[in-house]
This record gives sequence, C-alpha cells and structure tokens, in this order.
Amino acid sequence: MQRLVRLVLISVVMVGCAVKPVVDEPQEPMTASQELEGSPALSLLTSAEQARQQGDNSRAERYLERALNIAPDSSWLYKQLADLRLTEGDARGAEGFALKALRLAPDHPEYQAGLWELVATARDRQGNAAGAKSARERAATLRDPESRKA
Amino acid sequence: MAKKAKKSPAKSRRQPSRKKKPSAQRRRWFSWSFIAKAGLVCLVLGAAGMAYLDALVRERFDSHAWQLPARVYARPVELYEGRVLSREDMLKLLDLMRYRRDARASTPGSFAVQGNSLLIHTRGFNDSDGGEQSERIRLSLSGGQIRSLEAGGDRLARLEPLQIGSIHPQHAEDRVLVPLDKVPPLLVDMLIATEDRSFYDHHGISLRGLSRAMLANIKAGGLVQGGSTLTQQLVKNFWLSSDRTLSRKLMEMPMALLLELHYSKDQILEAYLNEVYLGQDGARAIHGMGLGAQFLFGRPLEELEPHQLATLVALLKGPSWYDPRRRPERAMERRNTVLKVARDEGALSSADYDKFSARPLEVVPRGASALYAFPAFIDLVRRQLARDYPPEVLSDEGLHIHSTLDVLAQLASEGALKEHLNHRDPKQVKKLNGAVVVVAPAQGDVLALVSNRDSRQAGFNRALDAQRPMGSLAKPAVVLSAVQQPKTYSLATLVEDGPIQVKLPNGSVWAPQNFDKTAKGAMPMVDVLALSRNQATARLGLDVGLDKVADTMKTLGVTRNIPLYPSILLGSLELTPFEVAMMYQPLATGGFSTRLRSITDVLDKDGKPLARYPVSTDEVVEAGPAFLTQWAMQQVVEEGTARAARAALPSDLRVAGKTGTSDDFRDAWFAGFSANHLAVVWVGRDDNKNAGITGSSGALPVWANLMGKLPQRSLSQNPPPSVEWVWMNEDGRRVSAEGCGNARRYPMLAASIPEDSDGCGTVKQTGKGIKGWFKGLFD
Repeated sequence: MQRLVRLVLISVVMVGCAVKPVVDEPQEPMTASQELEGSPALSLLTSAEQARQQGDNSRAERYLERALNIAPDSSWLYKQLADLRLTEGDARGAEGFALKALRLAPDHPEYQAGLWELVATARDRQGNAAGAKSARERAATLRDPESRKA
Repeated sequence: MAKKAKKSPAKSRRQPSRKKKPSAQRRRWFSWSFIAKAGLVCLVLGAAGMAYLDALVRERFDSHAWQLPARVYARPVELYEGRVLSREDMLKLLDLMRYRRDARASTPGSFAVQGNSLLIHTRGFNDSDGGEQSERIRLSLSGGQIRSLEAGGDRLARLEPLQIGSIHPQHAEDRVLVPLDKVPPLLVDMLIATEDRSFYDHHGISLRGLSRAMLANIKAGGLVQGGSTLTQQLVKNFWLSSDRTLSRKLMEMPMALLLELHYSKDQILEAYLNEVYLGQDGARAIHGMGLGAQFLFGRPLEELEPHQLATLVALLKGPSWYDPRRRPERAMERRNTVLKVARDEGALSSADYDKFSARPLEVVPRGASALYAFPAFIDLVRRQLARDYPPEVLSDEGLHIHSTLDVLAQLASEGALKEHLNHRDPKQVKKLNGAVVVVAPAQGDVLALVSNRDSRQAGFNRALDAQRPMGSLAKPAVVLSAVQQPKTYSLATLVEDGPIQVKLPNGSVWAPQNFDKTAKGAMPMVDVLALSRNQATARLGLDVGLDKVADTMKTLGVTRNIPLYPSILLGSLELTPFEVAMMYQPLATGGFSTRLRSITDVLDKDGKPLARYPVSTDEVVEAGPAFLTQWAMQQVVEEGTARAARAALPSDLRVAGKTGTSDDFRDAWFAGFSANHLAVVWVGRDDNKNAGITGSSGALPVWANLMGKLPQRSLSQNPPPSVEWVWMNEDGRRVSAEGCGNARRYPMLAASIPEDSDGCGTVKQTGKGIKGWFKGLFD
C-alpha cells in the first residue's frame, strides 16, 4: 500500500515536471521532404521545380499532377500547384489548391499562415476583398502566439 | 491531201444536193494543216494538262496532306517502388501492350521474367513533360506491390501509354506515319524485290518491268505480276480513284514521271510505305505499313520480325484476297513466296528463310486489339474534344490525345458488370443492362467508363446518356443540407420514421412509403441514411427546406434544373451515371469540387505539346459538414443497406457510399468511394420497365467486385479541427459517455454539441471539457 502511494506520488511529480512552460520556439521551416522523404514523388517535384525555373509552367504542372498520383495527401504538392496557378494568372485555381493544401497541412502555424496569405492574394486578384481580409486575419492569428494560446 | 479530199465527194452519194460545197468542208477536216493545228492544240492542251498534273502532284505531295486521325492513348503506366500492383496485373498490361517475351529483353517492346523480377525494355514516348526514353528497367514484384525498381539511376519509370482508339469521321482513312529511317530495311528490300526490282533505276515507268510482268503472266497463264512500278502504284493510291478507267491509266504514267522528276527515290518510297492501302476494318480504311503492323500484329512496325514483314508485303498483291485473318492459307503461301524472293535476292539468309517460313502467321485476333476496345470512353473523349477542336483538325492532323483511362480499372469495371449481369440475367430474359463510371476523385480523372454489358459494342452510351431517377442516391444531399445547420441538426438528431403526407399545389397528396412498407419510429439521422428510410428522409428534408436541399445538389455539381417538389428528396430527379459521379465527387474529396476530365494533354503529330487540360479544384463544402456526411455514408457500408459489400473488400478498408432504387424496381444504383476511387454503377432496362432489382442486389455487387480488384486507400478517420468525437445519449440531445446505456459516438461540429449531459459517466466531454483541460496543461 505504501509502495503504491509512493508510486502515485512519483508519478504525479513526473507529470508536473512534464508540464512545459509556454515558450516561443521558432519552428523549423516546412520543407517538401517533411512530407515526401523517401517518396518517388520527390524526384517529380524536383523536376517540376526545374521546369518552372526554365519558365515551362505546363511541364511543371504535369510533373506535379504525376507526383500527386503517387503522394495524394501531400499538402506541399498542392501548395506548389497553387503557386504555379498564381504565376499563370489563374487566381481562382490558385485559391482552390491553396485551400486544399490547408486541408492537408501538417500542424505548422508558419506554413499554414503562408498558405492563408496565398489564399488572400488569390482572393484579392479575384476582387474578393472581404474574403482576402478574413484569410489575412487567419494568417495573422496563426503567426501570433498569444492568440494561438487563447 | 488533195487525193484524199477528192475521194470524198464520190462516196457521198446520199449527200443532199442543196448543201453547198460539201467537198470543201470535207477537205478542211482532213487537211494536213488541220492536223497540224489540232496537233498544236493537243500539244498546248497536253502541256497545260501536264502543268496541271504537275501542280497536282507537287501540291499533294508537298503538303503531305495525309489524313491523320487524332489518336487516343490511355494514361501511361507509372512504375515506382511501393506502387500497389500485382504481378498478374503487370503481366496483363505487358500482354495488352504486346510486349514480346525475350530472354534478354534486347529490343524495345520486349521483356523477360527472371524469378521474382521482370526485365522490361520500354518503348519510350512523348509527353507534355518531355516523356520517356526507351530504357531497360528491372522490377521486382511481391505481395501485390512493386518492391524495387532499377531504371537508369531513377526510381521511377513509365511504360508508354496504350493506344485505345482514334477519332475519325465515318469512312475515314487511318494510318500511323512511319518515317523512312524507322522502317525496317528488310521491309524495303522485300518490297523492292517483289514489287519493283528496278525501282532505283527507272524514272517512274519501267518498260523492262512491264515486259517482264507480261512474260511472267503469259508463262503462268494468268495475272501474277502487275507491271506497275512502285511510283505508279503510289500515284494510284495517292491521287487516283481505284476504278480502272482509261483516263486514269492515261494519267498514271505522266504523273509517275512527274513524281520522279521532282522527288527523290527515298521520298517516294516513304510516301508509298505510308500510303499503300492494306485492307479494311469496318468503315476504317487501313493505310500504310505503320497502321498495318498495328492492325495485324498489334505492334509498332519497328518491332516486327521478318515473317511478319513479309505478310505485310504479301498483302500488296490483294489486301482482301490475301487477308491473313480470313484467308490464312493463301496469305501464308504468298508470305512464303515473299520470303523466298527475299532470300533469292540476298536480303534474307537461307537459315533465316528456313526459320521464318516455318513460323505461323501470328496475326492477332481482330477483337484482341486495344484499339476500339473501349468505345464508351472514346465517345467521352470525342465529346470533350469536339468542344475545343473542329472536326477536320481531329480527322487530319494526327493529334496525340493523352487520356485519363486506366486500363486495369476499365477491365475490372467491364468484367464486374458483365459477370454480374450474366449471372442475374443469363439469357438476357430481363434484358438487363448497365453502366459504370470510375473516377479518381481528387484529380477528377475518369479512369473507366462502361456503357454496355457487352463493352466492345458501341452504340447507346448509357453512362453518358441514360437519364434515370437517382432514387436514394439523393439522400446524402439531404443529410449534408441538415448538418450544414449545426445549431439545429447533428447526425445524432432523432428523426421520426413514420407516415408523412404532403399536400401538393395541384391538390394531390404526396405520401412516400418505406421500401419495406413499415415505419420504424424515431431514429438518429445517421441511421436514416444507413438504412435508407424514405419517410424519415422526407420529413428531415422538408424540415431542412426543399430549397436548401436543391441548393446543396447544385453545389455538389448537379447542373440540371431542380424542381422544388418534395419527391426530389427521394431522388425523382433524373441523372445520368456520369452526372451522379459529378455529384458524388465532392462528397468523396471532403468538399472539393473538381471538374471530371477524360483528357490530360494534347500533342501534335510530332509529339510537341499543344494543350493541357489541367486539374482545377474549388472548395464547395466546408471540411466539417463534408466529414460528417462522408462518415454517415461509411455507416451505409458498415451497418446499412450496403453491408454486403464488406465481404468483397479488405476488412480494414473504410469506404462510403449509397444504394439507390427507383420506383417499381426500374433502376438499381450504387455510388460509393474509397479515398482514391469513386465508382457509380447503374443497372436497369433500356425500355425502362420493371427490372426486378434493387440497389443492393443489382448494382452493389458490381461495385464491390470492381472496387475489390483495384488498389484502394481508406477514407481518413481523422476529423478536421472543427469536428470532435462525442458520445451522445440515444435521445440525440444530451452528451453521454462511453459505456452509458445506448450511448453512441458521433463526429460532431462544435455548434451541435449540447450543453446538457445525461449525467452518466464522470465528465462532460466537450472541447472545453476534460480533454481540453489536459490539452491546455501539456501544450
């Protein structure tokens, strides 16, 4: 019985120690490899990036579509498609892909905030000022640790 | 001149006397000067004629105005480590693409089985991303997966897309252009040896060839050799109709001369090889060696072996007389003659002659060609293309259309529909037919389309054109409309399943019945859907609002006018199977609407990218309501009207769907999905009579069978941030806890979670409850 009490006490102390004080640790920036490490989709993503650098957006898009067939739940791939659409002037397409990327996004506030900003830009370009504003607010909330805690 | 003229009056005794100067007229007719003049006129006319012919020859030849119908390809087969692909399916694909077994896989289009691994020599192809080079890859397959892949340092490889058809108007020509440097030299040698031995020496016409042919014909006592040179034959094929008129014969020779004057032997040979008529496939004329190779052997010309090349050359003598499918003996004899001539001319060694003349014809059966094997899908591609390209571009310009068809999904769908209908309706007593649409929901790619239990038959495209009442397939739209009002409804909300009557504006009364003619009383909304209760759905839908439900259907992708009758709640709206797939696509993706596409890329005849049909997606339903609806649809399969599908699927696979049956058992539907396949199945009769089937008995087995044959990923069980799992009291109004009475666990939107608890269990478990408290502690 005594032993049990002791064990319980130790446990309680350990739990107490495990409670972390709230500190702002800057998160590592999100990268493709966090989602796609070891996936064959990664080499298609690399090819897509090269095609974009060469200004060949439709080739890049084809690579990304193929990559998505292999890694269908990759938020990062959808983000690349959203970026691509925005540079091609297809703001509506960009918004759709950015929202999809958000749906699949890992728990990474900075990355998600970036996506909301992408949504905001895409909405602005479609003349949706109110939608853009609310997207920017979401981005701001994600970046503000105080509001995250609330 | 004078003498001749003098004779005529004497002979013209019956010449009426009142005609003056008859002899003078006669004299003019036969005068030398007249002949000279006539000769001059003829010369001028002849020169003009030659100039005309010259223009004709050059214009047609220079413009290369060959009709090249647009070709449609399936999606390329993507190979990578980890891809779910059985060894059996891999071999099936190689067989469909006519890969040859060859111990070293030494040439493109061949493969070898080496224990657990396959050595494949791919063919290479163009694509909008640059395509693939031909390469040798080593692939090891086990446990239904690609375990490893070696492909030139890369971990990815693609097999070329299978050609599945071409788009051309009725009675069109068809061909596969092959440049001369890709034509096997042996084919050229055989051609020249048998058809025109002095080809490289003559100027279009060969008198020696003509006399030799005549001699041979006399010796044989019949027509064994034509005296026409290859050039003349090309003229015949290229410019002249095939009827044997004198004027045609007269034009042939000068045109042949002109052709030789302007063009090199190689150019003429290349044109000949691509133009020559080789037979008929229904309304489609087979022109050129490239298409001939595909038509007879299902392979590219470059891959044919000597005896197969000889069969093509044998056909030149008479494509229907020597048709190797209908006249195999004749074709074989002629083929061996070609081989013999090739040997005698030194183009083929004696050993090869012995070897190849002993080989059978090896012609593929007509139906075995993937070409035209998928008429329903090709129809869809054609409709999509017709919006963007005028007909003449499609029939003439040789476009390469890369489609979304997945050959394995298509074959699985065809097989599942056929198998089930043959089982249920073996002698076609009930005249049951059906349609299947399979879609990759995230990208909207149409992977398979079946519109007939005999899928090779073209004709009425049930998948695209059969408009039928969707029945209970409408119910998920009612549930979605309800959970989008989370303050009022959750999946736990009780709905009364009992008689309901609605007075319609026209005075009649709408009183829907349940399928089993009973009423089950109050039940949670999720069960209303899972058990497909009509009266409860009608009550719920009317409560939510007909206009809301109609709006939801439109949001999901129904484009038809939706009349606001209560009967739409139970699926009186008529949709085609394809439209049902459109409506279910956002349900399958958690609320993202993507236009269904059958084409990804269009390339020109040289493989240069022309146009893309990119994926595009819109968020049309928020994550929370979409997740709830999808979860409710999973219960249809877990414990509802589609339970029977479980047996055909892996036990850990989570799928969702809905059965549908229309009045009088006319239509049986099932529409359902995993994370990577959405499939819609319709079964019914063309005459719209009672088919005696329900969604569960008529359509679900087809769905389960085909889904079971494809690699599936489970639907995600992770709710979005706006949704929590909550144990609810069976009254649907109070929170409860695990193990309490009949408490059940539901995904709930925050606004739906009641403040009240039934007091069972210790802690009220909402987001702000114990879980939230602990979370706050550790965050």
